Amino acid sequence: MSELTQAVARRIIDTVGAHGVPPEYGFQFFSVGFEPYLAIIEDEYLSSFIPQGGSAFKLVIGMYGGGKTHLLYSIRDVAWKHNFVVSYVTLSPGESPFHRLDLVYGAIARGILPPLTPEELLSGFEYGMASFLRGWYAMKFQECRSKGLSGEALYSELEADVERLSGVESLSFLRAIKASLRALAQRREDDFENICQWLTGESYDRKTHSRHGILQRIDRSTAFTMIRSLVQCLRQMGYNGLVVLLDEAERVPSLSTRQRDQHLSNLREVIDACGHTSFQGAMIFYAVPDDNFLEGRTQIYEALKQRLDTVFGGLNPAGVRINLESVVSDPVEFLVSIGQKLAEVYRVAYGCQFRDEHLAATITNVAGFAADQRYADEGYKRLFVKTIVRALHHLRQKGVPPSVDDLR
Amino acid sequence: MLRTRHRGFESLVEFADGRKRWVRVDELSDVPPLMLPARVSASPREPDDESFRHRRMIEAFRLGVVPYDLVDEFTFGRDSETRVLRDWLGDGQHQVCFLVGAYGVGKSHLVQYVRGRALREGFAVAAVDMDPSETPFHKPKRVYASLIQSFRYPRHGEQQPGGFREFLREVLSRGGLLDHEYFQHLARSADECLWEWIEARESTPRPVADVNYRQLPSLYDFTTAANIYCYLLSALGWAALQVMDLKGLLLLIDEAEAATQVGYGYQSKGLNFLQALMRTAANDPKMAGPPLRSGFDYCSMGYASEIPFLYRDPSGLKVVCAFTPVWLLDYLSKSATPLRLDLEPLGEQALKGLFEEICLIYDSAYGFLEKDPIVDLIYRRVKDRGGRTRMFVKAAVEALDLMRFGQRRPVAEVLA
Repeated sequence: MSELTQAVARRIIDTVGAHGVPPEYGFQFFSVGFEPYLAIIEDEYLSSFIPQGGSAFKLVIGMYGGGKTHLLYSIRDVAWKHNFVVSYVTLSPGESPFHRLDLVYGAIARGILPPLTPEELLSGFEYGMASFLRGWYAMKFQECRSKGLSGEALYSELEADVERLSGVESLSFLRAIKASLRALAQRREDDFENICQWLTGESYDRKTHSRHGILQRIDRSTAFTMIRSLVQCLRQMGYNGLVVLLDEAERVPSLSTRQRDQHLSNLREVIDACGHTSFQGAMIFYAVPDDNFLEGRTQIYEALKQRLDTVFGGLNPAGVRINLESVVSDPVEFLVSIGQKLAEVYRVAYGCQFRDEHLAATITNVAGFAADQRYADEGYKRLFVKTIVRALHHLRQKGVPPSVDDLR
Repeated sequence: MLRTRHRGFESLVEFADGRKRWVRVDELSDVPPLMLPARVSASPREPDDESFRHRRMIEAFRLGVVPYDLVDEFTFGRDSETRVLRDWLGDGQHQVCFLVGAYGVGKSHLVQYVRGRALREGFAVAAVDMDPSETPFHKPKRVYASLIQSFRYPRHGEQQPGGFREFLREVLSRGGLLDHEYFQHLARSADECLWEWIEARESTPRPVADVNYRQLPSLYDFTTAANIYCYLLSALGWAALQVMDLKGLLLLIDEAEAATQVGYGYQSKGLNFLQALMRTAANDPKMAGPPLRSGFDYCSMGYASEIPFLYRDPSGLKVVCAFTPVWLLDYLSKSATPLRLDLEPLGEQALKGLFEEICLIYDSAYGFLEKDPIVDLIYRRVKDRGGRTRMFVKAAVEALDLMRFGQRRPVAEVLA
């Protein structure tokens, strides 16, 4: 589905107008400015280097409401196109703080999504390991059926597919994946759910899990092993790898010195693992509002800073940093481009027409108004998209462009 | 059929009597076609080995690291240090070497270099990157597990080094380690469970799969279990030297400053293991007797309380620890008398050679090579703006990136 229908357009306008965030499907219709980065991510990473067994890490920097989520959704789209499983993780201080890697692993496992169609994105879908494994089982089942297999022969073929999974770092992880798929085939739903509970890092119960050969807890010290094992399994299951989108969406509240050090140390470990290609077939994006978290004097800060620093100015689409402000040379012009795309979506959503001069005036006014706020707390891009929807409502209902006062 | 969920695993079916129920794919005779999103390609194109290797290098350089397996191809300006390390490998006096230097100066690089060198010279090698969460010093079992996973030894007449299992099988088949409290259990037919147990792949002290394993001694995960893991490692070192005719077992411990990055209680437990390992490597006679007399914390759990730190003299162990300058260096030096190698930033000539090599690797990865006068201009910019080794390498790759995307604009403009 690449055509903009009225229903999709309405959904885009409603979501953007209410919250200033892009919808999971439909963001493509008003994307502006990501092309230099996306082109390189696709051409030099996701279509070749990562599937071949490379790994990479990118730091995404963009203020609140500055387009981070929009970019991450765009990356997800490209990754799906190239047969990657994607996990979008909102790093929240409560559920998945980065100083607790075991919780981050759990969030990654709960967030995984295989490539989805636009129809699935629009009609609802389920995140996470349990749904992923069910989907994989369904896909294999149908593959067997399409080969003309049925009954015992079909289940033997499925069992062979499961048995072929091997060469995974954590034996417990591999056994868990195999046991979960066998539980599905044998309709042991309780076993399946218990194993998935472990796979998503929720709990370890020796009595329950050791029956399936799961002898390891998922804790801080095994989280990296589990992430690596997850990627290895995905590649064996026929995908090109895993793209992890870590979105540090909220400002991290005050952490203790130890927690902060642990957070930075974990991040450095992740970066090194990508550099040394121990996460073969993984690409990790870590999105933050700014790079203030690198400001510190201890060795941990220094080590991390060196890895994430850039030396020269200028836009480097292949660099370790993706700076969302670097693609904006003229804020007003940039917002006008977004406004024009959103106006087109609005036209489809409401089946209405605007006079060209009215529309141009409206977009320019709102762009100027939002650009003036670009040093405020809320990102000016988010402010713009929310305001432009209100302004287009005004223009549609009253037939004249709104004044700045109307927009306040 | 109204809709599906879990990517076709279940379909919502409305029956003739009006009831609706989710039905599994394997319970349906007529399954809706699977919806799969459009893909560009089902599988990636095959990599050209050399260009992929160089591409990996460039990607690692962007992050300021060098891939472990490609270090040999990328060592510059460290002639005196590598000479010292080569001499140390052949020196029977110092069993422990400290590589000390600031972040980004190239410690990990040299650790990897010495690993490759030692393997070629006839050592078995095992390496671990210390990490406060994954492999902290206060968790000896994890450190041991990590070392075992990376264990390699040179095999006569073979191009590829062998791993831990082959090594141990061969040692046992030659009659070695048959009196070892742990390794002897693998002398008879060893199944996968036994191997996983001895490799410390699971956190449980012994396999739980079967009652037959109850006679096995426990591999505890306690912070105090330093004696068990020193005993295991020193046995491997001894076997390398005495049974396999190798030069010993080289243990490489990178990021050793991690010992200071944990709470105080764990710090002392971590230092206990590190010091005990160094003293074991040095064949300290106290380490060969009952652990109670060693002066170190040990596992006092039943049978394990009898396990000495040192299996036999000579331990066959040599240990390299790479640190950033931290307070514990002086503290450790008192007890271990290590060889200490302080790393300084690279000199001008080495930087030039390094830069030229990066240009060639970059060309192989991206097919992008500037003419010599332009390369000189870029080098000057990189030298002025880059810092120590790591930042210099990062600056070089960044400069080449910017030039590649810079649409033939002048160097001064692109690298402003």
